[in-house]
Amino acid sequence: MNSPEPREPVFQLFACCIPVQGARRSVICDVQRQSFQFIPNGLYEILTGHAGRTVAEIQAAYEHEYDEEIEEYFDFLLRHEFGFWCDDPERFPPLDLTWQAPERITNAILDVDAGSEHDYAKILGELDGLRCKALEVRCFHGPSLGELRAILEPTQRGRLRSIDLLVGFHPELTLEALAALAVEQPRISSVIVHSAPERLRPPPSRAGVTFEYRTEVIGSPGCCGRVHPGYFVVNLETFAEAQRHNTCLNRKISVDARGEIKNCPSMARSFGNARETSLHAALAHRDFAALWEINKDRIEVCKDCEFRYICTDCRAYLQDGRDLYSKPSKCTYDPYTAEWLSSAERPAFAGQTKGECG
Amino acid sequence: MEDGRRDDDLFARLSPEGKEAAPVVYRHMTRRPTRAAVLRMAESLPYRAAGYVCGSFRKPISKCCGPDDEQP
Repeated sequence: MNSPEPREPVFQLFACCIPVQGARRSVICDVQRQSFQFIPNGLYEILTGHAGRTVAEIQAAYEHEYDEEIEEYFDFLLRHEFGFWCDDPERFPPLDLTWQAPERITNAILDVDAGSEHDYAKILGELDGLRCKALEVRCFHGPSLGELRAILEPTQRGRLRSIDLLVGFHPELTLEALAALAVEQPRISSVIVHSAPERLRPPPSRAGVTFEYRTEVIGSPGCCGRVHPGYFVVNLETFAEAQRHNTCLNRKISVDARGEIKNCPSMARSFGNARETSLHAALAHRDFAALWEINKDRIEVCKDCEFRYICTDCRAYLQDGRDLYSKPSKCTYDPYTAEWLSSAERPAFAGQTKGECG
Repeated sequence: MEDGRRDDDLFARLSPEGKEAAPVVYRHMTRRPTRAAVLRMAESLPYRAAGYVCGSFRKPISKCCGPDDEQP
Protein backbone atom coordinates (compact mmCIF):
# COMPACT_ATOMS: atom_id res chain seq x y z
CA MET A 1 0.00 0.00 0.00
CA ASN A 2 1.39 3.39 -0.99
CA SER A 3 1.54 5.89 1.83
CA PRO A 4 -0.32 9.12 1.08
CA GLU A 5 1.59 12.18 -0.11
CA PRO A 6 3.06 13.93 2.95
CA ARG A 7 1.12 17.10 3.73
CA GLU A 8 2.48 20.39 4.89
CA PRO A 9 1.97 20.60 8.65
CA VAL A 10 -0.84 22.70 10.00
CA PHE A 11 -1.02 24.52 13.29
CA GLN A 12 -3.19 22.91 15.92
CA LEU A 13 -4.17 24.57 19.19
CA PHE A 14 -4.09 22.34 22.24
CA ALA A 15 -7.69 21.45 22.99
CA CYS A 16 -7.43 23.21 26.36
CA CYS A 17 -6.52 26.50 24.68
CA ILE A 18 -9.77 27.93 23.48
CA PRO A 19 -10.02 31.23 21.59
CA VAL A 20 -12.91 33.56 22.45
CA GLN A 21 -13.69 36.56 20.30
CA GLY A 22 -14.60 39.95 21.68
CA ALA A 23 -15.73 43.11 19.94
CA ARG A 24 -12.29 44.68 19.83
CA ARG A 25 -9.87 41.91 20.77
CA SER A 26 -9.93 38.22 21.58
CA VAL A 27 -8.42 35.97 24.22
CA ILE A 28 -7.07 32.46 24.28
CA CYS A 29 -8.36 30.82 27.45
CA ASP A 30 -5.96 28.17 28.67
CA VAL A 31 -8.30 26.09 30.83
CA GLN A 32 -5.49 23.72 31.77
CA ARG A 33 -2.99 26.29 33.00
CA GLN A 34 -5.77 28.58 34.23
CA SER A 35 -4.66 31.68 32.42
CA PHE A 36 -5.63 33.75 29.43
CA GLN A 37 -3.73 35.73 26.84
CA PHE A 38 -4.96 38.54 24.64
CA ILE A 39 -4.79 38.07 20.89
CA PRO A 40 -5.88 40.36 18.06
CA ASN A 41 -9.14 39.53 16.33
CA GLY A 42 -7.13 38.85 13.17
CA LEU A 43 -5.43 35.94 14.86
CA TYR A 44 -8.79 34.70 16.16
CA GLU A 45 -9.99 34.64 12.56
CA ILE A 46 -6.96 32.65 11.47
CA LEU A 47 -7.40 30.15 14.30
CA THR A 48 -11.08 29.58 13.69
CA GLY A 49 -11.87 30.53 10.09
CA HIS A 50 -8.69 28.99 8.68
CA ALA A 51 -8.25 26.07 11.05
CA GLY A 52 -6.66 23.05 9.36
CA ARG A 53 -4.96 25.12 6.66
CA THR A 54 -1.22 25.34 6.12
CA VAL A 55 0.61 28.63 6.58
CA ALA A 56 1.00 28.94 2.83
CA GLU A 57 -2.73 28.48 2.36
CA ILE A 58 -3.52 31.06 5.02
CA GLN A 59 -1.05 33.56 3.57
CA ALA A 60 -2.55 33.01 0.13
CA ALA A 61 -6.07 33.52 1.54
CA TYR A 62 -4.96 36.99 2.64
CA GLU A 63 -3.33 37.53 -0.77
CA HIS A 64 0.12 37.67 0.86
CA GLU A 65 -0.65 41.07 2.35
CA TYR A 66 0.14 39.94 5.90
CA ASP A 67 2.74 37.20 5.42
CA GLU A 68 5.09 38.55 8.05
CA GLU A 69 2.34 39.15 10.62
CA ILE A 70 0.97 35.65 10.12
CA GLU A 71 4.39 34.15 10.76
CA GLU A 72 4.72 36.30 13.87
CA TYR A 73 1.33 35.08 15.05
CA PHE A 74 2.41 31.47 14.86
CA ASP A 75 5.69 32.25 16.61
CA PHE A 76 3.66 33.87 19.37
CA LEU A 77 1.40 30.81 19.70
CA LEU A 78 4.37 28.44 19.86
CA ARG A 79 6.23 30.63 22.35
CA HIS A 80 3.23 30.60 24.69
CA GLU A 81 2.80 26.84 24.20
CA PHE A 82 -0.74 27.19 22.90
CA GLY A 83 -0.32 24.65 20.11
CA PHE A 84 1.92 22.67 17.81
CA TRP A 85 2.47 21.74 14.19
CA CYS A 86 0.95 18.49 13.05
CA ASP A 87 0.04 16.53 9.95
CA ASP A 88 -3.11 15.01 11.28
CA PRO A 89 -5.35 17.64 12.89
CA GLU A 90 -8.34 15.31 12.71
CA ARG A 91 -6.79 13.40 15.60
CA PHE A 92 -7.16 16.37 17.89
CA PRO A 93 -10.86 17.03 18.35
CA PRO A 94 -12.09 19.95 20.42
CA LEU A 95 -13.06 19.46 24.04
CA ASP A 96 -16.64 18.51 24.71
CA LEU A 97 -17.99 21.54 26.59
CA THR A 98 -21.15 19.85 27.79
CA TRP A 99 -21.62 20.76 31.45
CA GLN A 100 -23.23 18.38 33.89
CA ALA A 101 -23.22 18.09 37.66
CA PRO A 102 -24.70 15.38 39.86
CA GLU A 103 -25.57 17.87 42.61
CA ARG A 104 -29.00 19.54 42.60
CA ILE A 105 -27.27 22.52 44.17
CA THR A 106 -23.55 23.02 43.76
CA ASN A 107 -23.07 26.15 45.86
CA ALA A 108 -24.81 28.18 48.51
CA ILE A 109 -24.56 31.46 50.38
CA LEU A 110 -25.59 31.79 54.00
CA ASP A 111 -25.73 35.39 55.21
CA VAL A 112 -25.46 36.20 58.88
CA ASP A 113 -25.62 39.47 60.76
CA ALA A 114 -25.95 40.44 64.40
CA GLY A 115 -29.74 40.01 64.24
CA SER A 116 -29.84 36.64 62.45
CA GLU A 117 -31.80 33.83 64.08
CA HIS A 118 -30.92 30.97 61.77
CA ASP A 119 -31.51 27.34 62.59
CA TYR A 120 -28.08 26.35 61.30
CA ALA A 121 -28.59 22.62 61.76
CA LYS A 122 -31.78 22.70 59.66
CA ILE A 123 -30.35 24.85 56.88
CA LEU A 124 -27.07 22.99 56.62
CA GLY A 125 -28.83 19.62 56.86
CA GLU A 126 -31.09 20.57 53.96
CA LEU A 127 -28.13 21.80 51.94
CA ASP A 128 -26.54 18.44 52.52
CA GLY A 129 -29.70 16.76 51.24
CA LEU A 130 -29.33 18.76 48.03
CA ARG A 131 -25.73 17.50 47.75
CA CYS A 132 -24.39 21.03 47.94
CA LYS A 133 -20.60 20.90 47.79
CA ALA A 134 -19.54 24.51 48.35
CA LEU A 135 -20.78 27.00 50.93
CA GLU A 136 -19.92 30.59 51.59
CA VAL A 137 -20.84 31.97 55.00
CA ARG A 138 -20.88 35.77 55.00
CA CYS A 139 -20.97 37.47 58.38
CA PHE A 140 -21.53 41.18 57.98
CA HIS A 141 -20.79 41.72 61.65
CA GLY A 142 -17.74 40.55 63.57
CA PRO A 143 -18.63 37.18 65.08
CA SER A 144 -16.80 35.86 68.10
CA LEU A 145 -14.87 32.66 67.71
CA GLY A 146 -17.59 30.84 69.66
CA GLU A 147 -20.30 32.12 67.32
CA LEU A 148 -18.28 31.06 64.31
CA ARG A 149 -17.82 27.59 65.79
CA ALA A 150 -21.58 27.31 66.44
CA ILE A 151 -22.34 28.22 62.82
CA LEU A 152 -19.89 25.67 61.48
CA GLU A 153 -20.63 22.83 63.90
CA PRO A 154 -23.44 21.26 61.79
CA THR A 155 -21.13 21.09 58.76
CA GLN A 156 -18.89 18.57 60.53
CA ARG A 157 -20.75 15.57 59.24
CA GLY A 158 -22.03 16.58 55.82
CA ARG A 159 -20.89 16.17 52.26
CA LEU A 160 -19.76 19.76 51.84
CA ARG A 161 -16.34 19.90 50.20
CA SER A 162 -15.46 23.49 50.88
CA ILE A 163 -16.49 26.39 53.09
CA ASP A 164 -15.45 29.96 52.39
CA LEU A 165 -15.77 32.37 55.28
CA LEU A 166 -16.23 36.10 54.88
CA VAL A 167 -16.45 37.56 58.37
CA GLY A 168 -16.23 40.95 60.00
CA PHE A 169 -13.31 41.68 62.25
CA HIS A 170 -13.55 40.65 65.90
CA PRO A 171 -10.59 40.87 68.30
CA GLU A 172 -10.82 37.11 68.86
CA LEU A 173 -10.30 36.41 65.16
CA THR A 174 -6.54 36.45 65.20
CA LEU A 175 -4.58 34.67 62.53
CA GLU A 176 -3.60 31.96 65.01
CA ALA A 177 -7.22 31.44 66.10
CA LEU A 178 -8.45 31.21 62.51
CA ALA A 179 -5.66 28.83 61.58
CA ALA A 180 -6.66 26.62 64.50
CA LEU A 181 -10.30 26.79 63.41
CA ALA A 182 -9.29 25.68 59.91
CA VAL A 183 -7.55 22.67 61.43
CA GLU A 184 -10.69 21.81 63.45
CA GLN A 185 -12.84 22.34 60.37
CA PRO A 186 -10.91 20.89 57.44
CA ARG A 187 -13.64 21.90 55.01
CA ILE A 188 -12.68 25.56 55.40
CA SER A 189 -10.86 26.57 52.25
CA SER A 190 -10.58 30.33 52.69
CA VAL A 191 -11.17 32.99 55.32
CA ILE A 192 -11.50 36.69 54.55
CA VAL A 193 -11.81 39.06 57.48
CA HIS A 194 -13.31 42.38 56.42
CA SER A 195 -13.34 45.65 58.37
CA ALA A 196 -9.93 44.70 59.75
CA PRO A 197 -7.75 47.44 61.27
CA GLU A 198 -4.97 46.63 58.85
CA ARG A 199 -4.41 44.67 55.72
CA LEU A 200 -2.72 41.28 56.00
CA ARG A 201 -2.30 38.44 53.57
CA PRO A 202 -0.12 35.69 54.98
CA PRO A 203 0.91 32.73 52.85
CA PRO A 204 -1.64 29.87 52.68
CA SER A 205 -1.53 27.25 55.41
CA ARG A 206 0.10 23.88 54.81
CA ALA A 207 -3.37 22.50 54.03
CA GLY A 208 -3.83 25.20 51.38
CA VAL A 209 -6.26 27.37 53.35
CA THR A 210 -5.96 31.05 52.49
CA PHE A 211 -6.39 33.82 55.04
CA GLU A 212 -6.80 37.47 54.29
CA TYR A 213 -7.52 40.55 56.39
CA ARG A 214 -9.01 43.45 54.44
CA THR A 215 -9.72 46.95 55.64
CA GLU A 216 -12.75 47.44 53.41
CA VAL A 217 -16.12 47.18 55.11
CA ILE A 218 -18.48 44.55 53.74
CA GLY A 219 -21.59 45.43 55.66
CA SER A 220 -24.41 44.08 53.53
CA PRO A 221 -25.22 41.95 50.47
CA GLY A 222 -25.11 45.25 48.55
CA CYS A 223 -21.34 44.86 48.41
CA CYS A 224 -21.66 41.80 46.18
CA GLY A 225 -21.70 41.61 42.40
CA ARG A 226 -18.33 43.19 41.76
CA VAL A 227 -16.75 42.38 38.43
CA HIS A 228 -13.00 42.70 38.02
CA PRO A 229 -10.18 40.48 36.76
CA GLY A 230 -9.50 39.26 40.30
CA TYR A 231 -12.76 37.33 40.05
CA PHE A 232 -12.09 35.83 36.62
CA VAL A 233 -11.93 32.05 36.66
CA VAL A 234 -10.16 30.17 33.90
CA ASN A 235 -10.90 26.50 34.32
CA LEU A 236 -12.74 23.90 32.33
CA GLU A 237 -15.68 23.53 34.73
CA THR A 238 -16.54 27.23 34.66
CA PHE A 239 -15.79 27.63 30.96
CA ALA A 240 -18.08 24.71 30.11
CA GLU A 241 -20.79 25.88 32.52
CA ALA A 242 -20.66 29.36 31.00
CA GLN A 243 -21.57 28.02 27.56
CA ARG A 244 -25.19 27.47 28.57
CA HIS A 245 -25.66 28.60 32.15
CA ASN A 246 -25.39 31.64 34.33
CA THR A 247 -22.02 31.47 36.01
CA CYS A 248 -23.22 33.01 39.25
CA LEU A 249 -26.73 31.68 39.81
CA ASN A 250 -26.69 28.26 38.18
CA ARG A 251 -27.35 25.62 40.86
CA LYS A 252 -27.01 28.22 43.63
CA ILE A 253 -29.30 28.71 46.61
CA SER A 254 -29.02 31.43 49.24
CA VAL A 255 -30.40 32.20 52.64
CA ASP A 256 -30.19 35.84 53.55
CA ALA A 257 -29.59 37.24 57.02
CA ARG A 258 -33.35 37.25 57.76
CA GLY A 259 -33.74 33.62 56.67
CA GLU A 260 -35.33 34.35 53.28
CA ILE A 261 -34.52 31.73 50.66
CA LYS A 262 -33.43 33.35 47.41
CA ASN A 263 -31.37 32.79 44.30
CA CYS A 264 -29.00 35.41 45.66
CA PRO A 265 -29.23 37.42 48.88
CA SER A 266 -29.07 40.66 46.88
CA MET A 267 -32.26 39.82 45.01
CA ALA A 268 -35.66 40.91 46.21
CA ARG A 269 -37.63 37.77 45.49
CA SER A 270 -37.97 35.26 48.31
CA PHE A 271 -39.14 31.70 47.89
CA GLY A 272 -40.05 31.38 51.55
CA ASN A 273 -38.37 31.69 54.91
CA ALA A 274 -36.00 28.91 55.91
CA ARG A 275 -37.79 28.62 59.27
CA GLU A 276 -41.04 27.50 57.60
CA THR A 277 -39.99 26.41 54.11
CA SER A 278 -37.46 23.75 53.30
CA LEU A 279 -34.73 24.48 50.77
CA HIS A 280 -36.08 21.51 48.77
CA ALA A 281 -39.52 23.13 48.57
CA ALA A 282 -38.04 26.47 47.51
CA LEU A 283 -35.96 24.75 44.85
CA ALA A 284 -39.08 22.96 43.56
CA HIS A 285 -40.79 26.31 42.86
CA ARG A 286 -41.21 26.65 39.12
CA ASP A 287 -39.47 30.03 39.04
CA PHE A 288 -36.49 29.16 41.16
CA ALA A 289 -34.31 27.98 38.28
CA ALA A 290 -35.57 30.59 35.81
CA LEU A 291 -32.34 32.58 35.92
CA TRP A 292 -29.99 29.62 35.71
CA GLU A 293 -29.98 29.54 31.91
CA ILE A 294 -29.15 33.21 31.30
CA ASN A 295 -25.69 32.74 29.95
CA LYS A 296 -23.38 35.54 28.89
CA ASP A 297 -24.22 35.05 25.22
CA ARG A 298 -27.72 36.32 26.01
CA ILE A 299 -26.67 39.38 28.00
CA GLU A 300 -26.32 42.74 26.28
CA VAL A 301 -22.71 43.94 26.01
CA CYS A 302 -21.41 40.79 27.76
CA LYS A 303 -22.20 38.83 24.62
CA ASP A 304 -19.54 40.90 22.82
CA CYS A 305 -16.98 40.59 25.61
CA GLU A 306 -13.92 38.40 25.27
CA PHE A 307 -14.11 37.56 29.00
CA ARG A 308 -17.64 36.15 28.81
CA TYR A 309 -16.71 32.55 29.59
CA ILE A 310 -14.30 33.31 32.43
CA CYS A 311 -16.25 36.04 34.19
CA THR A 312 -18.79 35.22 36.88
CA ASP A 313 -21.97 37.10 36.16
CA CYS A 314 -24.28 39.13 38.40
CA ARG A 315 -28.04 39.33 37.86
CA ALA A 316 -28.78 41.29 41.01
CA TYR A 317 -27.24 44.64 40.09
CA LEU A 318 -28.02 45.52 36.49
CA GLN A 319 -27.40 48.59 34.38
CA ASP A 320 -31.07 48.57 33.50
CA GLY A 321 -33.05 47.16 36.40
CA ARG A 322 -36.06 46.56 34.11
CA ASP A 323 -34.09 44.43 31.67
CA LEU A 324 -33.08 41.05 32.98
CA TYR A 325 -30.62 40.73 30.11
CA SER A 326 -28.68 43.93 30.73
CA LYS A 327 -25.03 44.14 31.72
CA PRO A 328 -23.98 43.89 35.39
CA SER A 329 -23.93 47.45 36.70
CA LYS A 330 -20.72 46.91 38.67
CA CYS A 331 -18.76 45.88 35.59
CA THR A 332 -16.73 48.79 34.31
CA TYR A 333 -15.24 47.02 31.33
CA ASP A 334 -16.20 48.19 27.86
CA PRO A 335 -15.54 45.44 25.29
CA TYR A 336 -16.03 47.92 22.45
CA THR A 337 -13.02 49.99 23.53
CA ALA A 338 -11.28 47.19 25.47
CA GLU A 339 -10.86 49.52 28.44
CA TRP A 340 -11.70 49.39 32.12
CA LEU A 341 -13.12 52.65 33.38
CA SER A 342 -11.15 54.10 36.25
CA SER A 343 -12.83 54.38 39.66
CA ALA A 344 -13.46 58.06 39.03
CA GLU A 345 -15.29 57.31 35.81
CA ARG A 346 -17.21 54.40 37.26
CA PRO A 347 -20.94 55.01 37.08
CA ALA A 348 -23.13 54.92 40.19
CA PHE A 349 -24.29 51.39 40.83
CA ALA A 350 -27.94 50.93 39.92
CA GLY A 351 -30.02 49.35 42.63
CA GLN A 352 -27.56 50.19 45.37
CA THR A 353 -27.88 53.18 47.62
CA LYS A 354 -24.82 55.13 48.62
CA GLY A 355 -23.27 53.84 51.80
CA GLU A 356 -25.09 50.52 51.67
CA CYS A 357 -21.82 48.70 51.22
CA GLY A 358 -20.58 49.58 54.61
CA MET B 1 4.04 -3.76 18.61
CA GLU B 2 6.01 -4.85 15.59
CA ASP B 3 9.47 -3.31 15.35
CA GLY B 4 9.55 -0.36 13.03
CA ARG B 5 5.79 0.02 12.86
CA ARG B 6 4.73 3.43 13.92
CA ASP B 7 1.78 4.19 16.10
CA ASP B 8 0.36 6.31 13.30
CA ASP B 9 0.09 3.33 11.03
CA LEU B 10 -1.80 1.36 13.62
CA PHE B 11 -4.14 4.24 14.24
CA ALA B 12 -4.77 4.66 10.53
CA ARG B 13 -5.86 1.04 10.30
CA LEU B 14 -8.67 1.54 12.77
CA SER B 15 -12.22 1.98 11.53
CA PRO B 16 -13.79 5.45 12.07
CA GLU B 17 -15.62 4.00 15.09
CA GLY B 18 -12.40 2.47 16.34
CA LYS B 19 -10.61 5.78 16.06
CA GLU B 20 -13.28 7.39 18.17
CA ALA B 21 -13.16 4.58 20.70
CA ALA B 22 -9.38 4.50 20.99
CA PRO B 23 -8.04 5.73 24.31
CA VAL B 24 -7.72 9.47 24.41
CA VAL B 25 -3.98 9.42 24.99
CA TYR B 26 -3.50 7.15 22.00
CA ARG B 27 -5.64 9.34 19.78
CA HIS B 28 -3.76 12.40 20.86
CA MET B 29 -0.28 11.19 20.08
CA THR B 30 1.51 13.08 17.42
CA ARG B 31 4.42 12.07 15.28
CA ARG B 32 6.53 15.02 16.29
CA PRO B 33 5.71 15.80 19.90
CA THR B 34 7.19 19.11 20.94
CA ARG B 35 8.36 19.92 24.45
CA ALA B 36 5.12 21.82 24.95
CA ALA B 37 3.04 18.82 23.88
CA VAL B 38 4.84 16.56 26.32
CA LEU B 39 4.44 19.13 29.11
CA ARG B 40 0.75 19.51 28.36
CA MET B 41 0.30 15.76 28.42
CA ALA B 42 2.03 15.53 31.78
CA GLU B 43 0.00 18.42 33.18
CA SER B 44 -3.24 16.76 32.16
CA LEU B 45 -2.45 13.60 34.12
CA PRO B 46 -4.35 14.66 37.26
CA TYR B 47 -7.41 15.50 35.14
CA ARG B 48 -7.27 12.22 33.31
CA ALA B 49 -6.83 10.33 36.56
CA ALA B 50 -9.58 12.08 38.52
CA GLY B 51 -11.83 13.38 35.79
CA TYR B 52 -12.67 16.97 35.01
CA VAL B 53 -15.83 16.82 37.07
CA CYS B 54 -14.13 16.79 40.42
CA GLY B 55 -15.28 17.37 43.94
CA SER B 56 -13.85 20.80 44.33
CA PHE B 57 -15.68 23.98 43.43
CA ARG B 58 -13.48 26.43 41.61
CA LYS B 59 -15.23 29.74 41.16
CA PRO B 60 -16.20 32.59 43.48
CA ILE B 61 -19.53 32.04 45.22
CA SER B 62 -19.98 35.73 45.87
CA LYS B 63 -18.01 38.78 44.80
CA CYS B 64 -17.87 41.30 47.63
CA CYS B 65 -14.20 42.26 47.63
CA GLY B 66 -12.72 44.99 45.50
CA PRO B 67 -9.58 44.59 43.44
CA ASP B 68 -6.43 44.54 45.54
CA ASP B 69 -5.36 47.93 44.29
CA GLU B 70 -8.52 49.42 45.77
CA GLN B 71 -7.37 48.54 49.27
CA PRO B 72 -6.33 51.71 51.06
